[in-house]
Amino acid sequence: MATPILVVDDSAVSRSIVIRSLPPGWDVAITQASNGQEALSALQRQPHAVVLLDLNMPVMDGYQFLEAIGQSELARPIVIVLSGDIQPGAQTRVKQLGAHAFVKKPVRADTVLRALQECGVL
Amino acid sequence: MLPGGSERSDALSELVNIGMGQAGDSLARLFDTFIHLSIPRLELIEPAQLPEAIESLVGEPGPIVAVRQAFSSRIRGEALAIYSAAGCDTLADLVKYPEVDSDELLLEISNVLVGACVGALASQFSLDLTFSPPSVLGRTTIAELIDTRALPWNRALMAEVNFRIVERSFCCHLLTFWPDESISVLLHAVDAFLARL
Repeated sequence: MATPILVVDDSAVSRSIVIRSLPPGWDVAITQASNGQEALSALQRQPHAVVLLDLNMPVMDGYQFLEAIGQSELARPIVIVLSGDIQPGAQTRVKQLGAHAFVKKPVRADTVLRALQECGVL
Repeated sequence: MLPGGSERSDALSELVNIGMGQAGDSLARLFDTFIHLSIPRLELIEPAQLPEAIESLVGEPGPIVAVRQAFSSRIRGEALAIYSAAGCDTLADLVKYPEVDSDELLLEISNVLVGACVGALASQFSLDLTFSPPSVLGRTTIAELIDTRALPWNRALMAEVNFRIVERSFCCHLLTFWPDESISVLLHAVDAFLARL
């Protein structure tokens, strides 16, 4: 069965780069969201195994999204943060908020693969 | 909106975003604190619109200090780092080097921010940029800062990002201007980037 993946980024170009960086041949069903709020709605409609999450977004950013799922009754997905904001404080904060891995943008297939393996998704 | 649609704006914003992230990382390490990053804003602008546009972006009614730096290669442009004068006063505390002159510190910070932000775009587009030495435009207001007659372009693409240290009321707005013919060079590079996706 295809693994349901939620890709959250305000940039459509960036979502497209992220989707293309996923391991070839991996059977996935991709849902896209352009901010944390849309991502929460998507999770309420359907549980996802993995969330690939940008941080710097309008409406609801990645930190707020992590807080919101932490406080919700929703099934916890594996969250991998993909961020242009790469400062040490950003990495610490998302880990404290429950993110499983941090990948620096620009994303590359090998760094995404490593994160997926670290989280035990692959 | 850029000529040619939202995908170009989107791609350019994303590239600016990555450059801003690298600049924010340098600043966070320099100050050993968390830097809040904005969402990049892009705008096509004419000189006459500039004072108002900057005032609304910066939202800083009080005195400001600005650092200006030009860059060039196949493309030319200019970066303007704008700090509130009040925020500048907190800088010396942040770095804990009382012996460092505050202008020198501003030049150093601006150099780091411009180098990372503009440099990330340049490297993505394989542009070998040369930077002019930065200059400090002392305590002034935005209206005084911009002498529209002196601007050497008719139209420019302006990108704005800002870096904030919330608990210290420090904020730096970094504006980059890509004027006239540089816009088409930049858009051509964006198209090539999109075509590789």
